[in-house]
Amino acid sequence: MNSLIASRLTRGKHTFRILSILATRAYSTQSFISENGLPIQGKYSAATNPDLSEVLSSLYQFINKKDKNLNSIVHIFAKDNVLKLYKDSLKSQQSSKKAESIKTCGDEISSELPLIVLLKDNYNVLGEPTTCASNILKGFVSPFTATVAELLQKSGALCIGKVNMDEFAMGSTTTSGIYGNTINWITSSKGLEILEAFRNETITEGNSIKEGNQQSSQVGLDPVFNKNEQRSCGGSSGGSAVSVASRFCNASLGSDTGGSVRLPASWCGVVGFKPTYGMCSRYGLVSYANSFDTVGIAGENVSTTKKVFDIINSHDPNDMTSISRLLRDQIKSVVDSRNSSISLDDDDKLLGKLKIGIPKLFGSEGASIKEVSLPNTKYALSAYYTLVSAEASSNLAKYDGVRYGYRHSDVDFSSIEKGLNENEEITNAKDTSSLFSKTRSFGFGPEVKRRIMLGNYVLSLESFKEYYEKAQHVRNMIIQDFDKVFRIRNVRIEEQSLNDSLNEGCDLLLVPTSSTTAPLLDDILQVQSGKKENSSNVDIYMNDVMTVPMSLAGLPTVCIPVGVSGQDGLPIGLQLVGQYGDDEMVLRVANILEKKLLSIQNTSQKLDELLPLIPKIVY
Amino acid sequence: MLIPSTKYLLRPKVKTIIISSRISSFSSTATTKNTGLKYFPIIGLEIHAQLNCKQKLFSASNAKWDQKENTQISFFDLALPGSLPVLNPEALSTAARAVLSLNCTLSKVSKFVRKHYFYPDQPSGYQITQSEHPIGKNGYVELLVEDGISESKTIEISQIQLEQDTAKTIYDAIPGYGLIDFNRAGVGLIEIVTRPQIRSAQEAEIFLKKLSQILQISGASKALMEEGSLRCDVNISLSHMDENNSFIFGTRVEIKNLNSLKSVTGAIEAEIQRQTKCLMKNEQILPETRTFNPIDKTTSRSRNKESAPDYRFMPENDVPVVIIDEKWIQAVKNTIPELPDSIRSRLKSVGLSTEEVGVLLKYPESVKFFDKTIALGSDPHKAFSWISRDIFGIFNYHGKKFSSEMNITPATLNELISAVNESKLTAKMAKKILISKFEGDERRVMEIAKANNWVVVENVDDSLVDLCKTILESHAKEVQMYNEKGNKRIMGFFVSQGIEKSNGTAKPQNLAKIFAQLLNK
Repeated sequence: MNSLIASRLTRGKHTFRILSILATRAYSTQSFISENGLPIQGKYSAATNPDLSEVLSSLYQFINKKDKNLNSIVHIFAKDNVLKLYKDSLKSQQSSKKAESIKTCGDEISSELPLIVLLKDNYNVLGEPTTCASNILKGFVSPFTATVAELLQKSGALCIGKVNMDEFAMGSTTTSGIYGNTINWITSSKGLEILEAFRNETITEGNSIKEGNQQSSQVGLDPVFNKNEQRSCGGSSGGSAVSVASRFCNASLGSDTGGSVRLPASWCGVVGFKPTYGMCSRYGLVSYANSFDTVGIAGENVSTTKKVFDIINSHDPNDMTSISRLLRDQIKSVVDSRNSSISLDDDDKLLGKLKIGIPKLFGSEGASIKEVSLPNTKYALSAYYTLVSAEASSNLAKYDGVRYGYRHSDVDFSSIEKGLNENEEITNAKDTSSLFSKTRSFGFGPEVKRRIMLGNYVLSLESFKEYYEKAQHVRNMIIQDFDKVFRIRNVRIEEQSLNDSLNEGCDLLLVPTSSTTAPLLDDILQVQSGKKENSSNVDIYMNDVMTVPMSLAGLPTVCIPVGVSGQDGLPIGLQLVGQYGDDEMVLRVANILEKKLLSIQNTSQKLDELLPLIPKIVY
Repeated sequence: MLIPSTKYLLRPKVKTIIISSRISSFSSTATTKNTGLKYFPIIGLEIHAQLNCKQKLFSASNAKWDQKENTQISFFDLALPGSLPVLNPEALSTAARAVLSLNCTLSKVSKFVRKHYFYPDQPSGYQITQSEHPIGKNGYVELLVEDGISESKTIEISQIQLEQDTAKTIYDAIPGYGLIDFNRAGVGLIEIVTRPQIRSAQEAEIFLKKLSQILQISGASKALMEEGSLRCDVNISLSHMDENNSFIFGTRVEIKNLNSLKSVTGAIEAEIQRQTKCLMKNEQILPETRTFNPIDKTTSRSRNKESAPDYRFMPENDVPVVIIDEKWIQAVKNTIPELPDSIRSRLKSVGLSTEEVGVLLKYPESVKFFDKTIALGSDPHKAFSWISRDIFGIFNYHGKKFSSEMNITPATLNELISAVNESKLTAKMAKKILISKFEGDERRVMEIAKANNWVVVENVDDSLVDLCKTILESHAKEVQMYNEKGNKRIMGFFVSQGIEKSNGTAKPQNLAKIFAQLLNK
């Protein structure tokens, strides 16, 4: 019974009705974590007062059971540590309540379940391992906590563990790490089941709830994990998207270098947000391509995503690329002057006043939408891979086996005298290059090595000008493309570039996230292992074509689920892109869009069960 | 970067440096007796000076690295995953001091780059340094005759870049092993690159001495080779003129990691010898990196050009472009003490001789003391003579070096000098007062004089005449000598007797007058 109630605690118009029933009942904490996992943030009234310890226990049990097939989580933190940090945060919040100014994740913490968050395994947490899903960081335990993770902990959110990723975030499939593949929660047959449910919905109209009840017992909630059915979850933050979609957490921090949060969000049907580069601190996030890396948020819906963003959006003196307070003020004044000039106070009327652009490349439909031109987008992918590989080869040079992590033990230390304590930090000068090459050869996986080799080539004397500098030039042209399209100016560029067509410019761009829905995992693995030709359907690098231009320009972009494909029943995501620093507007419009989509969706209990986080719309 | 440009070689200065074979004692000459070809060394230096900062260049750990191993380290110094650099503003202003003191242009926009190479003492696999946009460019150091060079000469500095020091690998503390101490990893350095305008080991030595003096005075670096805060790489090639009198460039060889003046001069001399021998035997000189062995005074190959790493330079995107404004530059300028060359010309303009300036420059604080004294109105020559003879003498007596932290202030000295001028005190009494002040007497100059009855007796009274008479009576022999030969020196003897007998209260002029009257009667 509990499961039934909790399963209906999703978005849609049933929610409020069910909530009113709940309010009159006394029930155990067990119901917080039902067979459908964690409830969505903010859906409980103050009447409930959960025992966090029990909630965590049942959540851990739930994860244990459900993640066996999905493989999204690589490390769970000890419950006592999580609770201790939570209590500490409450204490410090109470003591500083009068001082205010501390961002908290709930107005009344005691009465609501705190935000539950998972972190990608490239964020440091004090005393916990950080591996980046790489053999080379085996055994590394971080002595400090990443700024964003600390901000979350201090706000009262519970960071409960680490999720899977591609090795060092290089990849878009979450298949290259040492922990193995993470699998999309949605399978081919589940997609078909969803299409079926939509068909039933249109045929049977009002009887859907009854039918849904009957079917739920047959299908069960566990996806059938047949290898041929498995869909890719995308990557590199696949673990983040799957853990949110599977209700292990309310939000999951990923990292987005070229689409690493947005692509898996699109394929798994959750919200994926890449803030403006520099909005959130990278301190404690292991660098992959440091001029592209941004903290990314995979969230259950826009409001939770916004909540997390509000907590982690601040200047950090530990990260020199974190946007300064001065520049934040400049952004605010530019955004405010736009907002007041077209009076954007009212959410209901907001959409009518905004101009939303659709790049010509992707075609357009609908009259109120403006076609825009981003002529250099076609160069984005090659520029992106050139620069990213160069930066990766540099950022990963530190993994040499000298100070931490994996060290290849097969190095010839023949000159080491007997009787010496082998644990001592000793390197034989003559053998260091052998130590380095063996450690790195065995420590890194093939995709990482491929990018390091490529990066080293790009940076070498003979090709630096030809590749690196050209790619940097393309990057600037892409930034200029975007600056020409947006209504507000890019505050990083001098005021003079303010174009004449200020009022002609768009506020946001609407762009698809991926050219396909989630491909079959098996197809991807076969392409990766060379068994299958790279077809357009699973062209892995091509998946990034819609996401990398924003990464090159450092723009805030959110991907929200808009429904499922009429072909395979799999989720479809859509990106909203804003000008540099216009993060608030991006999330605000995403929120309105989400509400609109929910208001026009099909509703049936069956569809609610199948698509708890995705608007029930079929395209 | 260090290959001499044609433009530079056409400058007349070069020709004057060409030294004939007769002056064989000068190490820069390398003339073969067989062919008569004259080889002249072209030397450029790359100097690494540790910045005199509390914290490291990109982390908050203590830059005083010479402490217990691996205790002065932070996450970034070890290149832990997730750590990031944060530029220390103090390092920037300290480097700016060096840039301005070495007459370089301080760049308003400077950028950091990564220079990649794998080595156990380089934790991140790259060094954060500067290349195309360094903090300083186009400076010079003037070598003057006072610095010990035979003819004054300018050595140009092409650039000064800010960069990180490496960790320290200690070899053979346990035989056969390298142990790594990360305390030094990330300490701020400036690399000073000269143009190849140095012509001999001696010039290199004079240049390095002058450079470290400038760095020390400006506060940019302790610049002590013996403690490792100044290290030097030498680039050296031998060039010669061919039959048609056109210039033939030699091949450049680099000698790395020279840690003392002796090894710099030794390495240059050894390398000139080696390259000369090679050229004589028509052997090819390879572009390579060599090391200097101070024991047998030879250089040996450590790396040839083929194995030289490609450093794969790329922008350091974790550190934004550094932009500084005029106001900041001015603020730094205001904190830089005056440099020796400027002091020299200033002191000469108030009338001191080169030698006198040299005396004061031995103790930089004494220059300030001198400045303040003459600012109060004292005559520069008198002030100099009091400082250099009497005050230095007192310090010397106590076995100490001059320091302005003492009871004698410029005002004290000025008061003494004017009291002597006005004949209120004799020089002898003034000196006694100086000693008494030095030893802690807090009273004013004239108070001390009065208390000790040291004030000059103004009126020529009978007692003084009597005193003089007694002196003359007891020195009949000298009186006779005076009368016979008119020997003026004997007057000096009588006067000094008078000063002694009067316990210094009698003014020498008065005594001379009385003696002259008595003797001429």
